[in-house]
Amino acid sequence: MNSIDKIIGDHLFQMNLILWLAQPIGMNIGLRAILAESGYSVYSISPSLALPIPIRERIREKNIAAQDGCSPDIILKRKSSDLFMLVECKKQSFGIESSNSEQARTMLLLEGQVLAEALALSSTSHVGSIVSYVTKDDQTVLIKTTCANIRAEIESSGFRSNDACCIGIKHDSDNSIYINVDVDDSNRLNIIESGVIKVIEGQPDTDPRPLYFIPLDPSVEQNVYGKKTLEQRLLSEILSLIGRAKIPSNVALTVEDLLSKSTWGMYSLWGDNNARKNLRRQVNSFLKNKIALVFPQNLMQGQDEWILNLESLKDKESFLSFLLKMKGVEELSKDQLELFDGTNKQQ
Amino acid sequence: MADINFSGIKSRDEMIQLFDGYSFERKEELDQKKTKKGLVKSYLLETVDGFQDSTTSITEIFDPLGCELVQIEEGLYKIADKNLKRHIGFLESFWSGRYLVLYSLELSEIVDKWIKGLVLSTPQLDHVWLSGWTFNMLWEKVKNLSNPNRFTRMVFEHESIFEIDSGIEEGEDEEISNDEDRAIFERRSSKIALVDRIRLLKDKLSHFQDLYSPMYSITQLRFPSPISKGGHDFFYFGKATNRSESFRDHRSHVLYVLKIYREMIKRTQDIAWYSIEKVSIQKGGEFQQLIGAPLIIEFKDPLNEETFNHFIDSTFGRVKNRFRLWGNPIRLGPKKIHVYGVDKHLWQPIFLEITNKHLIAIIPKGTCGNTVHRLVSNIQIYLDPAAKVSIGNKPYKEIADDSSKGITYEQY
Repeated sequence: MNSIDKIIGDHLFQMNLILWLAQPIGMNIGLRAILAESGYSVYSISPSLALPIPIRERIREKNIAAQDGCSPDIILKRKSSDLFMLVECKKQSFGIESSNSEQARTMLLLEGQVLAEALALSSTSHVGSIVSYVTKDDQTVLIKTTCANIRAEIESSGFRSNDACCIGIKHDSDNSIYINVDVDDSNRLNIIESGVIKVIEGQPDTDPRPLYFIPLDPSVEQNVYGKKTLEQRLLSEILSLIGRAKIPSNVALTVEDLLSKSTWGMYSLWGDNNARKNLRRQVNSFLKNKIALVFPQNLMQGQDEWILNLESLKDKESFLSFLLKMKGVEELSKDQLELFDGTNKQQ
Repeated sequence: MADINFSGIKSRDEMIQLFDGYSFERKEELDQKKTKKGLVKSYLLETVDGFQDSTTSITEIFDPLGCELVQIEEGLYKIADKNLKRHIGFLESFWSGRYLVLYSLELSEIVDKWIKGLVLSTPQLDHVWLSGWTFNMLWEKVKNLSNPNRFTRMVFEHESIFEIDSGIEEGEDEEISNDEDRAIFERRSSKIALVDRIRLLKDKLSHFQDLYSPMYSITQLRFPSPISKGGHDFFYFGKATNRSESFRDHRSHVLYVLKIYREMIKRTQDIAWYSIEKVSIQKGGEFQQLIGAPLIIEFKDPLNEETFNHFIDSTFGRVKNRFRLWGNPIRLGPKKIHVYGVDKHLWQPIFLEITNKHLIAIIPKGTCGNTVHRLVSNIQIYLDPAAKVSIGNKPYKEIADDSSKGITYEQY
């Protein structure tokens, strides 16, 4: 079961929601792109930002527990000014002693020109910056308190610090999704409204999720929808490759390429090597057991890839016909899809 | 079959002269209502993106389809069906093969099917898709280019095929059938043809559309010929029939519409293509930028649950479906699904959110822009003729209008 309360705490949902809120949308489709309305667009996804060397040296001198670099989930940029919003999505709040606080210190230290340097922007550009945590609405108070303490600690050590804001996510009994931004944070973030803002119009017994740009992130807890999305995107990439193949030809089904295409290149950014390896193994197992076994004469195993030999149009049609009947990639998810149970509604 | 000998044609000029003379004869017959042979027809085709990047030549596209191409001069070929052992017509290539036009004298009932069969057989070819909204823009051009006393012809078609599940497997190709054989289904179905002077229709179309929404779904439009009687009928699937006495003028109109469509495709792809782009930075390393904008189709009135379900089931539950889409719908509620699927014609990924109120499509970079125009055409014809369309925050109508700006009609 996957209730709406669980959904809004889900890291991938939070990330994809923020991406949608920054999309250009000109019509009423039950999704209000409030961040785009406020002038924001997506600047970068999961960028690696390193603190400049002088800052790193000084934080060691001052014994500040910060990481040398961090990867905020998303960077948004406000078009009319050089204001960058570093967005970090969190399932739950964290305290000052947690490992998350080290990442928070680094994000707060990436202030103004320090961020400009990390982003390799021109030294003449005047850059504004702000950090925003996105989390379930009931988690925002503790995150704010933690960030205020970290900020005080940083500033008392002689560093400049970003402001840290919070965007809370909540829902109602109609499955509508809201963001909650208090007046101060709304002013700091230059969001055109404050308070509780409806961003997704709910429907009865309906999962409010938008389409996912990012289908999976192995560094966080997986969910059924994310896996289902990935498997469908994998199938569509395989179908596209075979569908467009010339006759006769050899089509290389490379596991890494398929994963990279299915995730729009995010696969290569995932830091969790074990998770990547596991996914590669699962996709390879799928190609081996579900395709190579059925068409042994057409598939040859190569180095991290399968070579599909399409001799004739009949070969191609057989493959396509077989793949078009596939419902999923069991190797990725043994669970049956049970995305949303409308009976478990929470305010 | 027109008993014309193509074998002596050695150049573009000779082809034009041949068709010019032929068109004049047919126009005389048309005036006497005694047409004996097929009119000159042009079929506007698009080769998908990626074709240009590869080493594929036009011959390599057509050869596996059983077609023989004989080059006459640069960008012009005679095309014959090897199985039927007959010439079909001439194929002219524009913009390095990105767009093609097939000129044929065969009767519509033969060549319409032949060309559809060809397009169905390869992901490298597609029709040029002129949606109702595109025709709205072209109608403005007809008004601007033509003497207001000239006659035009418009056809509006809408059939709510998803209102009742007939249980019949939908063909990807429209079959010509005898009306008497058709089962009776009670559902909205409109086909209206209007023939009148431009000045009389000039300001009325929008009123008609407000009064009766199927009139948003324009599927045919006639450009009156500026140099002779008659005109050029454009169809939603990229066909143009020459009902004038000049082939030269017909070809000029075909090129005019093709140039506008090409601009629309470029603008569509520029706005809609989604990707996470790697952007290298000066000091080493790279960032991932998300660029693109969703295609959004907002239905004028929400679909009822039965229509919604029938639309989903008949599109994704049947191998052959009108929209040529594949995907396993992820159901998120009674009236909401997500599909991470494939445009089965071009074999390119497409992501869809479909609810009873809207359809959102994410077109990953590389997916040809005509996927958008095919989808909009089919939605207007079969689901909601008055559906509003935008790409990101840019209305589709505005994209169509902008695409036509700066493109002038020229006599070739």
